[in-house]
Amino acid sequence: LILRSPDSLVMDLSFALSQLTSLVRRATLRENDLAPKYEKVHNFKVHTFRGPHWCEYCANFMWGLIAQGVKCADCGLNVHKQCSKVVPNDCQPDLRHVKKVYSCDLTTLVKAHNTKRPMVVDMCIQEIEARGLQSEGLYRISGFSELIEDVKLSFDRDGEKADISSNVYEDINIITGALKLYFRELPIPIITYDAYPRFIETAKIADPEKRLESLHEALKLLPPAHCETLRYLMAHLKRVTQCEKENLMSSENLGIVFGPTLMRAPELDAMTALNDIRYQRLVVETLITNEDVLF
Amino acid sequence: MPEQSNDYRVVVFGAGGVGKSSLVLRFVKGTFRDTYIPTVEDTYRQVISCDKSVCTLQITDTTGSHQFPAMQRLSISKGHAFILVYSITSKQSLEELKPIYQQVLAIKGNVEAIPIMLVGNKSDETQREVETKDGEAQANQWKCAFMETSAKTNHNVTELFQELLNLDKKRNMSLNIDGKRSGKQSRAERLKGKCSVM
Repeated sequence: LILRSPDSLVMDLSFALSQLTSLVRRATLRENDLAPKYEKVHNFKVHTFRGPHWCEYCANFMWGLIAQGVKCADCGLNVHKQCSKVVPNDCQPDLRHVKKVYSCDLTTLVKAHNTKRPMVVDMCIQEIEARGLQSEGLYRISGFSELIEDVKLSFDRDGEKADISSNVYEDINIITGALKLYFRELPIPIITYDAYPRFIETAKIADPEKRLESLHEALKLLPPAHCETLRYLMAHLKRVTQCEKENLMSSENLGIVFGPTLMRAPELDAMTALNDIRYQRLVVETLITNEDVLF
Repeated sequence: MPEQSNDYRVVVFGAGGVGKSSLVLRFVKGTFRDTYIPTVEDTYRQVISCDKSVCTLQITDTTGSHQFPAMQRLSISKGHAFILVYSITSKQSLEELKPIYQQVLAIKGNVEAIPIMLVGNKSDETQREVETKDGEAQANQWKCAFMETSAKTNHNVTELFQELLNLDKKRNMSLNIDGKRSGKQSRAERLKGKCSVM
């Protein structure tokens, strides 16, 4: 033991350390019973490690001087490139890595903040319902764009501590605008690109019974966190339509406004996108009116 | 210029619920509906006279709910003339035109040669939030024309479109189709008259 160089001792030490961190990570994962059990894939990026590093999956040394392995941008897991293909989808994003709220992947955000749904959605909807759903053109009329941008910044900065009360933002249309902006800025829309064609197909079915059935099937394609958020939003929009006499927003109107907010065509072909608009409207309209049976 | 096709494209912008569709429908169809349906995007056509011949006036009614930034850019780059609508009952709706004007400026570069009309709609309403002089001041700042209208009472609607066409100095346009066409119409009427007598 005495004969070993100090270098190898340092290596041993940092190996023990990396083993320890991954153990701690596993332990905290098991402890978090509160956390919703959403599966999340790791967001691996090629990484150049400084100093010796060991793979946190196979525990072997990561060879090389540059690009020795990959690092998950959301939770910081360090593994070999080969190992990254077999790592289970147990990414637990860390707030140190997930800095923004807007334009952050939905599942990443809820896992990082340990919530059921993105806090923007819960907080905006609670605020809107507390102020009353009677406001004319709710979700149609837009608020000042600088103030909406301001709400976004405060969510990005303060997370669930963001203050969106009427003392700060008097106009309810700023809150509705901020919520719509959140959905529009999602890197993967709430109705994911993968599931998009299936949802559009459902809108083309004439028979209402069959359409509901196929919509119910399509919903199963959504990641659980997306589906849960969509359910919560649709229940809220249903309540908005119940005040249609005052706010003039029928499920058809909300469908027009929310269609392109919740659904985006995977390929950006302008013609298809334009053709899809009426189907998007129909999908959202059906989701709102049948919210109780679909989810 | 490839732009010199037979179409003259007018694009109507404004916040949600200020009455863009109502203005366009009043002008194109002469009707007013008290319904409340957001627009995605609609295009209407009207035949007008341009440089002593006929051409199509194409009016694009856009969405007010900020849904398609890409579509907005496309409409601006394709448009020849712009109508920026706010509601005199909402100061905010005037504020919201500012980013749209900035975008027109950014895409078109120089707006001096482009006909732009700032329009304060719902002039029949009594709960005014934007005074006429405020609208005029904004128009002065933007170096564009200004008008107050009411799609509901049909106040200044035809005038708005005629005035907009007059602003284009490169073409000589008029909503009335002069000469041949009106002759045809009167002949049709004469025939009709005879028919009813028979």
